[in-house]
Amino acid sequence: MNYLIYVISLIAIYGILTASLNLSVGYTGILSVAQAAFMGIGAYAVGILLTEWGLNFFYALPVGMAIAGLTAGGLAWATLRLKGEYYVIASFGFQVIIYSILLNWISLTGGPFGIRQIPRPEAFGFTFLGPTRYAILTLAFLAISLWIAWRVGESPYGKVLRAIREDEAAAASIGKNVSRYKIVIFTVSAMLASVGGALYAGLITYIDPFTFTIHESIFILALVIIGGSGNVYGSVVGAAVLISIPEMLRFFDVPTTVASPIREILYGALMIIFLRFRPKGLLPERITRGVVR
Amino acid sequence: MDRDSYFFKVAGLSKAFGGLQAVKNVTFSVEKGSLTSLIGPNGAGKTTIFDLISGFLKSDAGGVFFKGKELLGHRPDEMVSLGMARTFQHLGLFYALSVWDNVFLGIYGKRRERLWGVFLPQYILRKEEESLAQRTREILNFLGLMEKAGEQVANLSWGDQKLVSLGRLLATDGEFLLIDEPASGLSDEQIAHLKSLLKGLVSRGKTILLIDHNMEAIMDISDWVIVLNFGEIIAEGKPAEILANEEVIRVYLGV
Amino acid sequence: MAYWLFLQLLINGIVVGSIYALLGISFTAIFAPTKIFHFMHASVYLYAGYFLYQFAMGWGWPLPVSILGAVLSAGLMGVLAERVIYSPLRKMGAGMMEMLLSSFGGYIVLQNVILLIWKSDPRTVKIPEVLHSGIPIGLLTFTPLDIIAVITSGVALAGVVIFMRHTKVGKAMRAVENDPTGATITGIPTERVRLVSFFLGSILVAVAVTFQVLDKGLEPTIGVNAVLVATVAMIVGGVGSYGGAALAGLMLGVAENLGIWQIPSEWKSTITFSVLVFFILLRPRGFFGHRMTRYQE
Repeated sequence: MNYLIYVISLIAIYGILTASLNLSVGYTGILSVAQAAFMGIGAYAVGILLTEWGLNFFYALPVGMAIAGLTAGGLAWATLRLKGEYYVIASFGFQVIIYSILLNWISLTGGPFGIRQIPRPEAFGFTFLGPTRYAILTLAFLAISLWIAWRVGESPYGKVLRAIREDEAAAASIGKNVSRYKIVIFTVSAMLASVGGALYAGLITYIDPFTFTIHESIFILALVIIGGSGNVYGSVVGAAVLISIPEMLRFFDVPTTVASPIREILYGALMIIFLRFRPKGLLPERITRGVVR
Repeated sequence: MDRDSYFFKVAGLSKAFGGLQAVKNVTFSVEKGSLTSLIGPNGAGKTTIFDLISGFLKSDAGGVFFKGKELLGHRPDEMVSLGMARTFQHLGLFYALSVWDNVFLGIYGKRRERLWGVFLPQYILRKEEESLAQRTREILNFLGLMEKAGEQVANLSWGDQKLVSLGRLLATDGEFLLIDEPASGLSDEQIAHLKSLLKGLVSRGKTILLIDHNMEAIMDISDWVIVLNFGEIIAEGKPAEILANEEVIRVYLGV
Repeated sequence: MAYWLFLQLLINGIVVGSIYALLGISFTAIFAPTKIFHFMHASVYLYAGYFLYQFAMGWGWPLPVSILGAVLSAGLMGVLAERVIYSPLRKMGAGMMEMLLSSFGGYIVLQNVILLIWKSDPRTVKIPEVLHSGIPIGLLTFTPLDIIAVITSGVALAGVVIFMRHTKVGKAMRAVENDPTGATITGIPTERVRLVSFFLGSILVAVAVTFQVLDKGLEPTIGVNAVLVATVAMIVGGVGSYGGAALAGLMLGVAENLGIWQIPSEWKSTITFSVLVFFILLRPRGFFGHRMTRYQE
């Protein structure tokens, strides 16, 4: 039972990560493979500040968000004028650099040994110890993330994002400052991903650099595609499907060296299949038609 | 005449792509409240001039002046706030969105342009949104698109899509409109409708510069015609003069 | 003393840089004409290594035959990637994003198939000892394998440049790279050009992995690193310039090795990719590449 609740927390966290990537990839069409880097920034902010400095989780969380936001904003400002296929390369480079820093700056991050025994969050004397309490915490954050994604998606701002996805030049021709839109949404997306990372650190209580690699970024991309890019609920459905299946395999005593690759093959294949045959994902995007009278 | 009194002026505009000189030392001006046509065979450099004027391309030389201000170096979205807007030959509509949204998004609203505006409660947004919706309705009615407002643009006919592209242009509330190939792909009946729309816009005080390679289509609504060939202006004047111009006739028949 | 150390590091750098040059050229051959960021290149690189291992150690084929087999298999894989993944998407009207995402998905699938079959232990391929034995010259050493690597890289670069300049297919590739729509209009068979491009890039990357495997061994993680290096070399050298990619690869190898002198070796990758990000930010066209336009449409 506890295990099931743990899985729910994990699904919630990946739901947040998927919602975050949906903002930049799904709505706006910014193809980035750096999401794991921002997740890692959030996770390590929590890991370092809680274990080394004894800071409260709820203070460490905004610090992580700030770092993620600043680096994302900087990266975006510098690179978003590049065409899509070059932008992917920049995000790729960024992802590798962050990973490399996490791996090599041993005095700060513990290097390949990572950070262990991260305490569970507590606020006003109440500790989120135990799977059920943590699940409630993650679900609360998931709800907030989904609400943000939904509000953005349904608003005129969200429609401009989709317009940018379709045709940047046309969006500029009607007076939209395309660069500014992209930088803002990319920054928000990164900050949300750092929240996911922070919650991840709190859940597993141990983090190392090997979680926050390009493989992880691709996994989150797969969740966006399979769940339906541009759709908010799809994020959660995709995460639920892809995370519960391998966890179930583990339940049936399939060794990790086999279960893990099988999960990866599954999501990689699903990614390709969905792109080819069902580009709108499990739950396709539903754009309201706007006010008509 | 001093530069500042021009409504819109292009001076010495040039652009080369590799070895090809697409636009060569082009100079012309547009009077406020007129409809000027830029014509010439395909490949003459007309769309390139539009791209240069509207900030999508950087010019090699020359200046572009709009209401006394130098335009070159500005981003395309800044042009709109200065009062100039353009369409595209390929239309570039937002095909996944509805007709209403395509026009609606073109209107500037202070709160809606910013992310924080998304989270404002409805009652604060409502007043701004309502006036924007009102303008959208006016534009759609002017173009005769109101019944189709809820349709996804991808499902419309080409003729209707052209109207949507005009609607999106009008939403920007620009005083100087650059229209790229308005008549292409339209039936005679649609062209007649288009011409009356354009005349209507001029009578409401808009200034229009349009590109077309189809001479007859736009001759009778133009106040002034500029003829381009191989990147250079070969003639300009009133429509009747241009129609009688021998070199122009040669260029069009010989091509 | 330090002088000899510097020279040794320089030589090591040139050797490593030659392989990096090969990687850069191989990636340029694919990216320049097709503009697809072919992440599955990492898989082709890896699979060529495992094919080599399987042919030479698993099935006992003679080494030259194994190498040839691995190289050709890699070429086939590259072609299949275009036929099975990218081309159908293009015909569907899918955009670059879908193709890139499929490339990532394909990489994940292929990567994990390797993990299932061969697990993650490092492998080595046995080669004649003489190739490994060092040749000392003063205080410097390098191996015959090193020399072969540098020469092969030079030959490959020369071959590619000649191919691009003097064969019909090569010139077609350049045409597609510079003006894709114009090329289609003037009757160039763009699909066939793409297939050639993928084939060429894939066999070149297989040659690169051969040196990696013979010299240092094989393990599943080398694919991503190879693509990273290839990307950096291509961008820094300027997309579309084979000489540029080769030069950049060479410089990268030298910089990495000289850098060890002052900077701990774990930071090598960070340096490499900081260089990449630097170039992308400040000089996207690298040393010799073409200008890039502002908006995507």
